[in-house]
Amino acid sequence: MQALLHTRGLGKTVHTADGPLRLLEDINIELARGERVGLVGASGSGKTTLLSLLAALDTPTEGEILLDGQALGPLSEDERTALRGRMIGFVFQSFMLLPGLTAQENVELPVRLAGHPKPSARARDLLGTVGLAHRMHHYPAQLSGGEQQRVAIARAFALEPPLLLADEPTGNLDQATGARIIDLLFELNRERGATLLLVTHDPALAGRCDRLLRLDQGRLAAS
Amino acid sequence: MNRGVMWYARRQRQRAFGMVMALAIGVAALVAVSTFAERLSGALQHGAAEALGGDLVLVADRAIPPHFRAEADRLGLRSASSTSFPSMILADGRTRLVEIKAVSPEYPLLGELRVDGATASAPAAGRAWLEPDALAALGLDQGATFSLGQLTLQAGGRLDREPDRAPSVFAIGPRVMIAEADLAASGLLGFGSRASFRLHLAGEAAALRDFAAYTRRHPERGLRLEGLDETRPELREALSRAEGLLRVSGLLALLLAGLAVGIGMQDRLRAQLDAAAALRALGAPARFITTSALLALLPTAALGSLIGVLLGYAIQPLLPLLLRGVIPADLPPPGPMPALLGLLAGPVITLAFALPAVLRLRATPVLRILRRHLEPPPWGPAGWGALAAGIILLGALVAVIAGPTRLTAAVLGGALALGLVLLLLASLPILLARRRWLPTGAAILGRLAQPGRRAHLTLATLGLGLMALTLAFSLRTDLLEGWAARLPADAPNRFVINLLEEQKAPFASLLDEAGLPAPVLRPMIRGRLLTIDGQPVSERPLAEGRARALAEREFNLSMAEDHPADNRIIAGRHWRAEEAGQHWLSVEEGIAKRLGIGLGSRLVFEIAGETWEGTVLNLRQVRWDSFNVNFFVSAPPGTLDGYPATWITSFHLPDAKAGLADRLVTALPNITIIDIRAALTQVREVLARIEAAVGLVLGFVLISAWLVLWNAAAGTARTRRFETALLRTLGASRHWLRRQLVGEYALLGLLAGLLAALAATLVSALLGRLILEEWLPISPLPWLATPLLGAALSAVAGWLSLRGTLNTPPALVLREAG
Repeated sequence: MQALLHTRGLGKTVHTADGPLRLLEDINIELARGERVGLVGASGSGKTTLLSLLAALDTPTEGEILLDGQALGPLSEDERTALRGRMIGFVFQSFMLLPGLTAQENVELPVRLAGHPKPSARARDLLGTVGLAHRMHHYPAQLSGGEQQRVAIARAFALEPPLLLADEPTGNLDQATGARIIDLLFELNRERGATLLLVTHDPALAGRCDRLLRLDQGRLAAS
Repeated sequence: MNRGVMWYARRQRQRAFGMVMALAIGVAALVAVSTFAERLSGALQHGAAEALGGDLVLVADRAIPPHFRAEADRLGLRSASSTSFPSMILADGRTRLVEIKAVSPEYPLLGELRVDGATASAPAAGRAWLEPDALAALGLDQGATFSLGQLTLQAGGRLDREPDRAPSVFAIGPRVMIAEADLAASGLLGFGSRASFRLHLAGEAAALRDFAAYTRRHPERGLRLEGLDETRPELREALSRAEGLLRVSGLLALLLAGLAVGIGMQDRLRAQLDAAAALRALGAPARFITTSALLALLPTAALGSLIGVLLGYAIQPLLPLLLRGVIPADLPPPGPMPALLGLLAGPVITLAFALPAVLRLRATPVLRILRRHLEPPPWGPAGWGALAAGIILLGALVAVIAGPTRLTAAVLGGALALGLVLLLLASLPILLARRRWLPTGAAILGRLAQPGRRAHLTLATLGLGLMALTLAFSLRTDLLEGWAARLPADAPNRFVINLLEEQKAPFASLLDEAGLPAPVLRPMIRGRLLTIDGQPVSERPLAEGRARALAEREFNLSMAEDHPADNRIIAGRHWRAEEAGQHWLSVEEGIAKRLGIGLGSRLVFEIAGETWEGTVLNLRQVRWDSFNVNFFVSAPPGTLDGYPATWITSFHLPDAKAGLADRLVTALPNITIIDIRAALTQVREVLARIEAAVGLVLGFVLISAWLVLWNAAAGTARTRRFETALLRTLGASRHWLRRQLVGEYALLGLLAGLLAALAATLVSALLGRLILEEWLPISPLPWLATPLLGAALSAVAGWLSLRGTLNTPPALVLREAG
């Protein structure tokens, strides 16, 4: 079966006052459909840089990325934006909910952006799935951290994207809440068959993944 | 448009109170001023024929040759004639300076003459209509008699309305209307009297055109045709200046409102950066960000503009009320155009000042969702371009709807330049505080200097608003008091004109009996300037309207052995005693410059039907405000003897001897005595009314400036809440925090007030130097009142917008920040 995500010789170099700085070097990854992969490494090892390249939020200086067989390199900014909307779901450490929208509206947002039918019904369903049926009309500021992250997970699954990227999803939560969030994330992932790439510092969380990618000073240390 | 855009924009619940308020105030000022301007111009245009006294009016400073009236009759035009001049009326030993208007029986051609509350026609011979002031001054009852020159007239009725009467404050006295038939018998229109003769015409447009063509074929010096397009040019000019000032103030208020919107938008932008990044990550295209942000502004712009329009219409009646007497009384009702202007200007100014922030929001890097420190690039050329385009669009909108005036552009440009200077000045204390060059006692100032507080911007804006208001209320007082204070206590306070040769002796003896010094009498000979160095005046290129008017009208020539003490010869030499009778001339420098007259210029005058030539021997600088008798053109004694002359003088009449004026007119009924103090009071009154109207609009400028401050303060709420929480965690009491907050903003206002006082003093001093040619003493009031007002306004703004931050529980804030 063809890999969902495929990188070849991926690298990122930025230019600083002290000369060029290599953030990533020769990264070759394949993520199979439905696979759950953890991305670990010390601070500054390049995790966020890699995630931003794989999410089509940034462009590499070397190598290429193929998502569902499509090379990201030649895409324009607008095309990459459209691709993100269609293919990638995000869960962030700081939730990144829109403060002016209710829980339901936050989940509806990507559905509406994609022009899909019945956004409200779909949002209500998903919020029910993550156990927030009673909090649908609350604004993010009225929700606890765990509840906000559950809204973010519902939003990430709203368009049933084949790829789900999670950046330290439990980083802002206490241990117990974090554990419940991870349970939810893995459960939904299993149900919907998405590929999950999870950036984490948490060994327990990393241990639940099918395999780990370890970054060390911009290079893949082991796979 | 993406379907989600509207949906998302509708859900942008943002605090827009500050922006709505600012827009409402700015739009209200513009709408009020525009409505007033529109009504005023409507009154001048629609009522123009009536205000002019006819469709066309022939105006002359001598009796109008009868062939003009004959031509009007031939063309089938209706006509009426009138003659106006100042004079004195007298009854029971009491006198009053009045404006006489002698009218033919056909008067008025247009409009309604009202006497004793009813429509009336021109007075019959022997009767007069008198305005209430004239009746009261002489204690006249209906039917009582009074004297006018050699004439005895009956007070036939109270004059309530005269259709072509100029607004009252421009009159030197109340109106007394008499029959034209009585004019000759009054003996007041002798040689040298200053009367204005009018032939009023009304009728078909074609006939009026033919008549205009006829006057062009028969040009007469000193005779001009006034049509609807040039009704009351002097009034129009004065009003258009006042209107220009009002318009500029309105625009200034709107621009400051824009600034407040801009500041509000910058704060909105900061709060929306994360949302913009998240939207981009979720697949929203860049135009989604722009469109939704602009759509979300629509309710703010619409609501602000709508409230502004309503408020503008509500306050606009105040302007004619404050300017009563200065402007025509019957203004047409307000039309819909200013509302349209306000409804368009509000969104345009919102767009202009919001677009730079929106464009920055659009440029938010999507990577911000992973790296929170990433910010959009600062304002680029696109942002500045959008702002400039918006302001130009606004200017064009105002110009199209309200009509462009050079004055508006000039004053607005001046105000913006002054704003920039204030911005630079305001940056100084901030810079000092940032560099820590100030003593530790100025710790609060250091807080002001923190980045993101926009202290210099708010300082400059509040400073501008305070300065405008300070100037509006101090300039008149400074200049007028400065002028009045300069006059010696015994400066002349009465002018006497129309004194005849044979009345010189009785006049002098009346003054002597009253214990007053002998008057300095100067002859006044009327002459019309024909040529300068052989070139007819009419052919000289005189660009300025005023120069042309000066050249066209009759000059008052005089003779004197010596120039008055307040005259200074700036070129040439004075004539010697033995040069009496020589055809030398001394010309006032201002008029010489305007007419292109220099030393040695040969001037030819027409005096009493004869030509008379003289050579310019010197140019004089005259201090007209000394209230001594002065002339534009003067000659050595004996030079103009034999020409008909009247005599003029000015003298100081102490209050205790005020009754002398009545005795003088009783004895010499044809003379006219002008009370300078009354004239000065009148000038004061006109200025006070214009000042009140401009002050009202400038009040809106100040409110706009205050709202800029309010919005800027509100923008710091987030940071302040966090700081407050930290300080409270560290043990700061609420009382201490409150004192800090109020102190900080009071200091900001105090600084703005000091800047305003400095700028107002400088402007006032420069104007004083320009107008009065001397440095006026610095008035201490602005230095006290303006900083105090600034401190109070600023402290209130800071308190109102930030007091909520003091009540935030520290724990909550720290959690939010985490």
